[in-house]
Amino acid sequence: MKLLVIEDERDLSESICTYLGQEQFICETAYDYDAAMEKIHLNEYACIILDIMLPKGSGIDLLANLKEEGKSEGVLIISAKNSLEDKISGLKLGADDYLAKPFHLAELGARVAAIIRRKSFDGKTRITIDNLVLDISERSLKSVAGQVISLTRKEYDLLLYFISNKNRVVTKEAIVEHLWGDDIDMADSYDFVYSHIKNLRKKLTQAGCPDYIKAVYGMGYKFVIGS
Amino acid sequence: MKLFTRYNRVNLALTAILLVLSAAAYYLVINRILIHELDEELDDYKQKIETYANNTGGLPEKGVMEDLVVKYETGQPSVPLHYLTTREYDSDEHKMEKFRQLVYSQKAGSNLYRVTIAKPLEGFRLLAKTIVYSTLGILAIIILVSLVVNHFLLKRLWRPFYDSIHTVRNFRLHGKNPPRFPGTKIEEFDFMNQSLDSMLNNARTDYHSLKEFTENASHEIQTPLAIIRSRLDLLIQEESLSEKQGKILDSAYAAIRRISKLNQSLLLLAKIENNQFAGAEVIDVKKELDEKIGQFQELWQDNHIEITANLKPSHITANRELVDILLNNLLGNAVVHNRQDGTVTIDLAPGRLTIRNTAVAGELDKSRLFRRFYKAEQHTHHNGLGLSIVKQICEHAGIRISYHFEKGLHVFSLEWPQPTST
Repeated sequence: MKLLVIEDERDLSESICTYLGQEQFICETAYDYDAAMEKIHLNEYACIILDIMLPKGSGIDLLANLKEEGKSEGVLIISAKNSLEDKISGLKLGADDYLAKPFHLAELGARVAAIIRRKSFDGKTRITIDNLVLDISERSLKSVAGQVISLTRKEYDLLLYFISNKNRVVTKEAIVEHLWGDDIDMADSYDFVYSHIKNLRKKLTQAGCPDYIKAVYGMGYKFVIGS
Repeated sequence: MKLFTRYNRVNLALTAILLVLSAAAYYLVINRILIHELDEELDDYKQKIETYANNTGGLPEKGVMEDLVVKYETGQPSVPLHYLTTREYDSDEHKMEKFRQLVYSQKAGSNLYRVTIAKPLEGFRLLAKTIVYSTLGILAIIILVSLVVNHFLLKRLWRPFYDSIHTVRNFRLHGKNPPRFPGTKIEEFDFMNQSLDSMLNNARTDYHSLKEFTENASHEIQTPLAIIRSRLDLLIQEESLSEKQGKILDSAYAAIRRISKLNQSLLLLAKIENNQFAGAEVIDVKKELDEKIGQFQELWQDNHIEITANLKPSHITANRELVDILLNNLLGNAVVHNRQDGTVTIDLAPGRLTIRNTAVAGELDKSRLFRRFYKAEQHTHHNGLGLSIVKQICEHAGIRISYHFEKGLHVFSLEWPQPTST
C-alpha cells in the first residue's frame, strides 16, 4: 500500500517513512506544495499525510483541490498549528483526521491504519492476524478457532493500537496518550498502564494465543507477530 | 444626565433670566411712555386753566373733566411747575390709588393759587400684570416645545450616535466581520465613525498579527519537538539497545513531554486571553464530571485515593473545550497534589462546584496561587500553569473561583450564574 507524506521538514518526513515503512507501507514524500500537487495528480495513495504549513502554499488549499478532483484518498492532517480553526476547516474540507505536532509515531501509525481500514475495507470489517480475528464494527475479538475473547473497552483499544503498530516498540507514554488523551495531566509514572497490559496478555494467553506482548527495556512494549 | 438634558437646563435657565430682564425692560419703557402721555394730558389741562384765568380772572369749575382731580389752594407760597407720582385715597373706588400730579402756581385775578391736577395711574397695574403673565406664558411654551423637540427630534438626531455605540459594543476582535458604521449626514458623527472604524480595524489587524505570531511561535517550537520525538521513536526500534540506553531514552522522552506540555499550556493561556475560544453552549456539568471521574478512576485506584462524588444536576453556559480543560486541571490537581490513601470530595449543585482534597503540606499561598509558574512544592513534572489556566478559564466563562484551607483539606469552590433555560 502506498502512502504520500507531504511534510517540508525532511527529518520528520524521513522518520515517518522509516517508521511506517517497517510495515506493509511504501512511502513517497513531497516537500513542498508543487511537488505534492504533482504526486497527487499522478498517483493513487491509500492515505495522504498532510502538513498544513508548506513552502509555496497551504495544505488546506491542497486538500480543497484534492476533494474538488473527487479523489478518494484518506487524508490525515498533521499540523503544528494546533488551532481549532485549522482543525475544523480541515475536517470540513473532508480530511479524515487531525493530529497535532509533536505526535508519537505510534499514534500516527494507529491513525493511518484506522483511516485505511475505513477507506479500503468498506463492508469487510474483520482483521485476521495470526491467531486473532478482530471485528472492527462490533469491537470484538475471537480466536481463529472461533472462541470469543471478551475484552474491556480499554483492552480492545489497546489491542487495536498494538496491532496497528505491530512489531514496533511503543512507549508507555504513547499508550497513555492514546487511551486517555493527552489532556489528562497524569501522575509522574505511567505504571498504571501495566495492569491493562497484564490483563490483556492474560486473556490472550488463556485463549491459547502465544504471548505477543513483549516488554522492552522498561520503557515500552512491542506486539510481536512472526511473519 | 444626557448631553441635551444638561444643555437644555442651562439653556432654559438663561432663557428664563433673559425673559425676566426683558419683561422688566418692557415695563420700564412702557411705563415711561405712558407717564409721558399722561404728563402731556395734564399739561393740556393746565393750558386750559391758564387760558380761563387770563380771560376771566377766575378759575374753572372743578370736576368738569371726567377722572381728573383738580385742587385749588390759596395762601401757599409760589412753587415752580413740577410733576410727581403720589398715592392718594380714591373716594370713588374706596382704596389707595396711584396718581400722577401736576403742581404749579396760577395767578387768577389778584389771588395766587396753587393748582394741583391729578390723574389716576389705573392702567399701570394692568400693564404690569399683562407683562408678567405673557412672560410666564412664553416661558411655559418654550419649555414645552423643548421637551417635545427633545423627545422626537433629538432621538432621531442622535440615532447615528447610538447606532455607532451599538456597533462598538457588539464588536468582537476575533469575529469574522469588520465593524460596519453607516454613513450619516452629520459631520461630527461621520468624524466619530471614521475614527472608530480606523481604531477598531487597527485593533483587528494587531490582534490578527498577534494570533499569527502565537501560532508561528507554536509552529517553530512544535516542529523541532516533533522531529526529536520521532527520532527517539525510531531509535527505540533498534534491536541492539541496552537497558541502560533505554533508561536514558526514557528520561529524554519525559523531558520532551514536559516541554511540549509547557508549550501547549502557554499557547492555551494566550489563546484564552486572546479570546479565541468563542462559542458558548449550555453544558451538563454533571454528565461531564461523571465522564471525567470515570477517566480518572484508574489514577485514583493507583494512588489509593478515595473519591466521594455528590453530584446534583447542574448546567453552565460556556465553551465546551474550556470546561473540559477546567475539569481536567482541577481533578488532576486534586489527585496529583494529594497524599497516599488521601481523599477527594466533589460536590456539585446548581451553580456551584466544590472540590476538596487532602493536602500533602499546609495551606497554599492565596496571593500567588493562581499566578503563572507557582509551585507549592518543587514537583519536577508540573509546570505550575495548571491553576493559572483554571483562573483564566473561570474569568473567561464568568465563573467565580475561590480557595481556602480547612481542616487539612484544600478546598476549591466555583460559582457561576445558572443558565436561564436548561
